[in-house]
Amino acid sequence: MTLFLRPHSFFLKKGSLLTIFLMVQFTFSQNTSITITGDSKTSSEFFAELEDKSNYTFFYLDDWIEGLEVKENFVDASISEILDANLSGTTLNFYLLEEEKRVFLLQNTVVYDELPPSFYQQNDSMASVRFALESRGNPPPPTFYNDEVSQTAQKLPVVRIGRADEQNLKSTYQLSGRVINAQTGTPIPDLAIRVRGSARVAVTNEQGEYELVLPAGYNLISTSAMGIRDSEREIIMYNDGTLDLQLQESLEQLEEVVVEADAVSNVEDAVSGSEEISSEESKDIPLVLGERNILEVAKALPGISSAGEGATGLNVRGGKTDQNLVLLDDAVIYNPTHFFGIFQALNPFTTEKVNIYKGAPPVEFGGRLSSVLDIETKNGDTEKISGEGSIGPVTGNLALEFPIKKDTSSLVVGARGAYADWILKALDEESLNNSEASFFDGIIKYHHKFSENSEIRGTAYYSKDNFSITSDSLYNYSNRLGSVRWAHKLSEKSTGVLTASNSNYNFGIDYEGEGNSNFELDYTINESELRYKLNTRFNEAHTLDYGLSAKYYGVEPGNVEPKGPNSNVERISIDKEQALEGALFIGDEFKVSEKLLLNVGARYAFYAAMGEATQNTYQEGAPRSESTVQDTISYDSGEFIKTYGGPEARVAARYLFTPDFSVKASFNNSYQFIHTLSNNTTVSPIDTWKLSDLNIKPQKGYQATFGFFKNLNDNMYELSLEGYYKQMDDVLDFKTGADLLLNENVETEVLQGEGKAYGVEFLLKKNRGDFNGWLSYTYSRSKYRFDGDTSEERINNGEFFPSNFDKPHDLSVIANYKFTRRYSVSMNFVYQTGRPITYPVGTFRFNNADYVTFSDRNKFRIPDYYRLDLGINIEGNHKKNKLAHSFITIQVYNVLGRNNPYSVFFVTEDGEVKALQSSIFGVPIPSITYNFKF
Amino acid sequence: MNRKGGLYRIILAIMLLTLLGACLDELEIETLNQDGQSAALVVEAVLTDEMITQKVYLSRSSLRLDLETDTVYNPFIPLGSRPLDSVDMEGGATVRVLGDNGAEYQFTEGDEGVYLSNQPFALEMGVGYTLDITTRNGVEYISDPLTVQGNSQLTNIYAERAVNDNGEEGVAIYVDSQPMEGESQFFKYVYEETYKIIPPFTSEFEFVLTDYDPCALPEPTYNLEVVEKTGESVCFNTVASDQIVQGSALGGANSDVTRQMVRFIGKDNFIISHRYSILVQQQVQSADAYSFYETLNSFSQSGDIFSQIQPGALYANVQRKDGSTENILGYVEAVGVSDQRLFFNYEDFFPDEELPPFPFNCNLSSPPESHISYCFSGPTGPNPCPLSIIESVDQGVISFYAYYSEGAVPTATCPGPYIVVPRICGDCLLGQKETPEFWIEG
Repeated sequence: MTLFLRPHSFFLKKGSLLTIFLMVQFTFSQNTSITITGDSKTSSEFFAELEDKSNYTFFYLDDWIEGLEVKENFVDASISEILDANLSGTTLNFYLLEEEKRVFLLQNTVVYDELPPSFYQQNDSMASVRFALESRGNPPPPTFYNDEVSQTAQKLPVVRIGRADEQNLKSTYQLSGRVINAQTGTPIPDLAIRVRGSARVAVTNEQGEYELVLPAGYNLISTSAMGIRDSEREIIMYNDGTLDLQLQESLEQLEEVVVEADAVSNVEDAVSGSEEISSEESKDIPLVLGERNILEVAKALPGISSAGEGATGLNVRGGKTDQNLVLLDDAVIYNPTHFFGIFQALNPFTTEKVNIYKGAPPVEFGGRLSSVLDIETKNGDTEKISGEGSIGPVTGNLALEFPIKKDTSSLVVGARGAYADWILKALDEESLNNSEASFFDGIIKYHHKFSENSEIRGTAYYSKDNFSITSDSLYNYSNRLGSVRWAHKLSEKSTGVLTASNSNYNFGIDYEGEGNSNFELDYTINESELRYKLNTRFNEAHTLDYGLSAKYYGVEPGNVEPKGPNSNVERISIDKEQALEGALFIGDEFKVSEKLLLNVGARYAFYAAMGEATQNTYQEGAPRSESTVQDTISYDSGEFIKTYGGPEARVAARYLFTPDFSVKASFNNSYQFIHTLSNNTTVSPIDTWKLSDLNIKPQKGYQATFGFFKNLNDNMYELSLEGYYKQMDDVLDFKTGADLLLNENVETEVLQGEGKAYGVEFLLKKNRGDFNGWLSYTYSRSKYRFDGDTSEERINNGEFFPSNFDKPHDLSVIANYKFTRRYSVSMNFVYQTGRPITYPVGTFRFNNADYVTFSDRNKFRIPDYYRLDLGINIEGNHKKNKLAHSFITIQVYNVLGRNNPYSVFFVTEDGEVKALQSSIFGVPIPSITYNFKF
Repeated sequence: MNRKGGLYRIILAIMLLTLLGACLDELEIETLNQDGQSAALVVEAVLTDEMITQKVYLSRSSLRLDLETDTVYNPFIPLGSRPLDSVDMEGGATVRVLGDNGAEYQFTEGDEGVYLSNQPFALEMGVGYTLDITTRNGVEYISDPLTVQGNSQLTNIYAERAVNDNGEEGVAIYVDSQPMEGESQFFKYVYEETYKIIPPFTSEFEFVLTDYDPCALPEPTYNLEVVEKTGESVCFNTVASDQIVQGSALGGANSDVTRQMVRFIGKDNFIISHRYSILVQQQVQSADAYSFYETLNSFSQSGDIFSQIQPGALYANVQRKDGSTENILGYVEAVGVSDQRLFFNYEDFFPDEELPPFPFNCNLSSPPESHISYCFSGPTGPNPCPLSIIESVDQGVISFYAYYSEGAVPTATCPGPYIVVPRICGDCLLGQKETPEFWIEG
């Protein structure tokens, strides 16, 4: 009798495995004598006969014994002798169950007669069980391998190496082999082969050969090399063996070698305060209405927050929302969100990842004080057409990848649209019946590899939001950007990258009411940048990054045009502003010793506000106002009105105490020449950007950081504790009640003061396993001070006051747990101190009326914020022939239904002042999103 | 553009709050009460370059946010009728105005918290003045130096039939002005409007009730007569502006002001029912004063509170003399003024149109003349009748309108001998009966 069993069914359940162990008696029976001939029999005939004669029941798969040679004849042999003789030299072992009269054939493995010492302590599922051996003399524990949960994305079959030799079980085995290029058949030299979860690395030699010592059992190895597509293989080591690999070429970007072992970068990089979020990683994290949102995930990292739900913009380490440089494929994106910041304006399927620099950013970036968010779009598939999409309650997303020329060029096209109108219509609110809200964004990226030494890519992006709440006004804003990047190798040691980009941000209000005040308002900022960056690897110790960049700004601060023949709105046009911004930069990554790594950079930032313009000068010592204008100066077109600039330092150092424990420190300073004007407590899409000019100085920032970084358990856990202190000068705020839109003399409404922020950030991250995620906690303060000469120019009597986003305690937990290959759950928990707010504290009689008097700025706080989101992700089945792979995400945002206050404000109704609390998502919001991939 | 700025923010805020399934919950005000706050001194003075008795008001702010008890029921009686409401006035202070030319003007307290200059005086242009206050408990305060920036003459005041931004029809009152001396760019407009009130149900007769004893047994005793009315039914009410109306000369300092709207009165507002007069005063402000009032105004509009505009503490231009920090509310300013008065009648703009509705309910009724003695202790059935005439007259809530006739009051349940109206509809309760001195009929 032959049973066809899938091998894993033996091992799938811990329980069944246990049963086998408990019933085992480990003596090989010799009492049955069997006579059998192997001549002219196929292996299956032989085993069938043996089964018959021995009265044992055999368990094996036909595949295993196929091609087995059974030539020997046996006379009065024991069953063990027969099996021993026949199976030696194969990868098969056998195992006898005397009592049961059963024989198990085993591929590669052996059956153990006792449980490994650590068996009962392991609660994790078997595939991720790893054993630490006490000493090399002991046999290693068995390998538990669960096919269902350990597939890598490539779906390459698991490789089993060697046949376990019961007499010679070792804790490590040697794997060797040769790696060749699948296209050309040539050996691949300098390929790094890493073992996931350990520091073992092998590099192939000129012949593509490698040798690697691997722990017994399950290993995941990954390969990476320039120009070769990264790959991963699952390997189960039963004995020493060989594995030859054939790898595909890839369109690697020249100037960056992607190091796969990201896990150690936490400890090894000199730069601290940088984080990377991949779009793929963020897909399971439950968020509002099932929309994937990288920027929202970023807020779960330490040091990054926002004023509240529905508040656009990130506050990084106590900085204002205008202090973040958000780049999409090298071009600035002024508003990367839709719908008041609730949704990201990035297609999740074309987005590869975002790198966030909270500390000293790389030298080529500049112009913002707090952070750089460098968002990268995927390169398209150069082999076949593929696509990915999703359908959620609010948006539909689609991304397609087309190969243009095989292995050379590809195109990525992404589009997204919203059908949010139904939300408005669904509300039982008559005033909203005429309202509408819609948005879309689209992106195209072309990537072309000319040769090994040169490649180019171009990105074009457009996003637009329209919304109207009352029937008489329509609001819109849009981002438009394009960039081209050419990377080329100059010599063996140098590469150059030339980037050209243009960005445009625009918003408008279209008012059409019943009266004669119809108008159209328009605001535009446009910038173009040219940058050339070189990278030269001098020697082992020095790698230089250097280059220059130049940027041109053009701002049309606002036009109001009367609309329609009856409109008596006055035509207003504020003069166009223009400016140049440039930078020279050089940075050196200096490896002082194995332990000490320095990243030293300098950057000279230069800015010039240019005519044609008129600027006012004001009396010294008096508050700036129309009444203190001293002189009005006119500038010709292109004439420099005022120049600003200065050196910026980017210094970071890392000292490695042990390979997985380091201490890092950094210092950087920066200039910011462009500012957001907003007198709201939160950012809105119709906040304008203002260029520095004669009267408005650039903002300056200084930051110092110090932290400890530790990886645990073979980089499975990352642990970091980092403190920072930040000082900001000439940050902008506004006189109370300032009117900023279409103001010709904004400087009369603006205050420039100082800010300071400090905090400690703690992050614990589990990178691998069925249970993964992170916990971050930040204690931070962010305070500002505006202390002018007159009371009008002071806020809170010139003392430091907490900013709108000063939330001392901020805790985030993100956790994913994978039950099976198809089902996983995710959780997102946030707790934050309530943000500061200015309250009315009393009333007074003035000018024959009662007025409310307010407290000092931000003297009080709204109640604390906390929220729990849960999600379940169900992967479609993975049948090969299916047209598309799919997965469904079911999420509930704000499961606890916590009515988190967004703001508290006061209205006077029937002579009574009422305190009202507004919240954006006060109830649990469920959603289902369907995602597909082909 | 200020208004439009406000508008878009309101819309934004409403969108944020409602569109996203947002919730608005009322919080208990008690939970917001904070310790450590004390009532602040409120200083209010608009000193002018006109030879008049100048006034300074001192009061204390209230820590209550619940204004209900502080609000006068009748919207046509201005809040400024100070003894009528519950503002804590600051009495017993010593108030002086000092000029840097050596001038000194003493003030004496009139009504509590209202300080009047001992002699009329006018501020002079080019002189810096300070307001000097010593409160009852001996704390000394001084204002920032105040100067009259300039003077601008109102050249014209006129009313036109107009439609406002909300599409409401009514009368708009405009002024034009011309700069006279100094720098005049920023203006505040205050006004005092006086209107004639003729109650809709006046009669030539009135009740006179004497010897009323509602508790007499077996029947209440009284003597009710209907006599010819002694006084006028017509009266005049004068109300000071409580809005902040501002303007600036668009062409820069010292340019003419034309068509500055000061007041808009809806067609349905009963104050223009008969004859209406407005005295507009244009005040030339300093830039600082202008921005103070502008900000105060933006904070007080509900729309702005709605829309997350960053509010903040707004303090007076008055400090403690000893240099210690104390938050003082209000504002003191020196202005150059110019007045002009305008009269118009309803039919000037709305000829042959119906008068605006009287803002009070004027149902005719015919209650029984008397009632069961209030001291009657025997069994009584339910009383379906309204309050008796004698009791209502005693309480002063009704006026005589006519003698009862069949069908005149269809809803009457227990018709009596007279038809009466609520007193506010038949008598002059909303103002003074004396014709103001400046009043010109036309």
